[in-house]
Amino acid sequence: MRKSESSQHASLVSARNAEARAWVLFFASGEASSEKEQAFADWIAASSANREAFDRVRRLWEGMVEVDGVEDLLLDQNNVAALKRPVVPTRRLLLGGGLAAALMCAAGVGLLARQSAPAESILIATQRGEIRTFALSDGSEITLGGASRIRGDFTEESRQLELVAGNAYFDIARDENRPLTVETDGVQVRVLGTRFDIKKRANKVSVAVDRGHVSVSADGAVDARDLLAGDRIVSTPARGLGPVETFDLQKELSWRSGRLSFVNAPLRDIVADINQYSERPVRLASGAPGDMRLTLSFSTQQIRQVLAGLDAAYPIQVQENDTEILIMKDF
Amino acid sequence: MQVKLSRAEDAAEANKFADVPGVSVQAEGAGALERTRFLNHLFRDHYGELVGRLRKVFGSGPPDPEDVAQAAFSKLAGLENLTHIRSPRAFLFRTAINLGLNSNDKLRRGRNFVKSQLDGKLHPDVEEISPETVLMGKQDLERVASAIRKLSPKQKEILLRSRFKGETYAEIKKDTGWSEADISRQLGKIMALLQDEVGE
Repeated sequence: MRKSESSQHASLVSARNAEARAWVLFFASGEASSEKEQAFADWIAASSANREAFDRVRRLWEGMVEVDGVEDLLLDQNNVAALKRPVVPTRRLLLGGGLAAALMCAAGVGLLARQSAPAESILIATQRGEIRTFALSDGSEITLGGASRIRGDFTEESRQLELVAGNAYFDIARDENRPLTVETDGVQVRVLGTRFDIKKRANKVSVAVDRGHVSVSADGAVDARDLLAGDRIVSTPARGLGPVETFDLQKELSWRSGRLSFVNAPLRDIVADINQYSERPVRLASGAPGDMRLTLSFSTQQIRQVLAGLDAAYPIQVQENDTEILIMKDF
Repeated sequence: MQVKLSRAEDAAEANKFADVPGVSVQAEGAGALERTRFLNHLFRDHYGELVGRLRKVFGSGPPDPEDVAQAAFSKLAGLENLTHIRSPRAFLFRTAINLGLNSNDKLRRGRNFVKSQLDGKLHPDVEEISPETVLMGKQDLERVASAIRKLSPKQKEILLRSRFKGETYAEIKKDTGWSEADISRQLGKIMALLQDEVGE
């Protein structure tokens, strides 16, 4: 039977190709051992077809580096269309071309995602100093502050994200059947569709609600807190969720247009925020007054001037060198 | 960040090349002079861009993008015949990326073992220093590019870390939290996709 012979041959070839891929990848895994190496030598020696299959996969593995601009292809996060954020995101701008483009973009990406993959992994990130808005396939938009990173998975049943670093403003499209969860250092935020902001810091996570309603819980805590627009909550590993407090929406969320605002905030928190945008890392030297409280508002473009101003007005000294900016106690 | 050299710096960078071990800038005849001139041209035209591309992959290191770029130029300068290089840009990038992999002991051991199995003792180290080894034709490179565009963000990150940054599965797991089994499965899928695309 020629037909069954040829299909048998095809399945042999595909099995051999799979073996060859596994061997090429084995040597990239970093798990080399003498036994495995011997097994590979035997497999290669067993037939010239094995060797040819291995050669083909290896040529692909080696040769992909020669693809023109391959590093850009790999660094480009597809499934997510990056929207250029207007310099001044006023209402007028958003309602004009910006919104139309965003809607078209979201619709296009959504269509693609629905056709090809039911489960979609999400990975978005910004560089230091970069503020960027990403449109997701479900119509949601996420704005990341500098040096921030989010990853997650969207499936048919759920939308799960994790804020791995930095801070983000979430404008989540409502989907009753697919609640969205954001995990940040043991703090879970659960929503159906709303707007909120999460900031991850070394020892705390803060959640602020811009519109709608979100449910916040922390690992180990029994019940969740419900937050409404204008509410904020801070969680620390030591004390869990703190009290629900109100906050100044406009000031808290002004970072999206490149403006950092602080009201009676400790210097160490200000330095942490500055570090998301400063070209050179800013470090508090030991003995520097990290608890000193300040009220400030400035553009991320003016960090150096602001630090110089602090040096002049407060009992601190700011020193710059090639690698960092150091804040020290004044002598 | 792309490194752009101004004219004056170009000259300085080109002179730096003279300090790379194994590169002879002493012209001993017309041929050698021609060769030196050619190498200096390559260095001037490609060094800045190469460092920029490597910086995208390695960040500020390790390995240090400048070190790797210089080592790649050293390899190039060690070649007997320079006229066979199809694309100096691609050759330099591939050489630099592979040199980066070699800085990981475990990966270097595996790569050397594979080489010894395939090449025997006839022509060791052939893939690294021979620009004549054409790995893929132009059309296949385009097919691979289009396959890479279709990968999920997670698959792209895994491929970048494994093939380009030379991270072992254990290292990728440490950074991302993905299990080694998952990483292995994803890479298997990626390679199957690429192989499908080039029709092998």
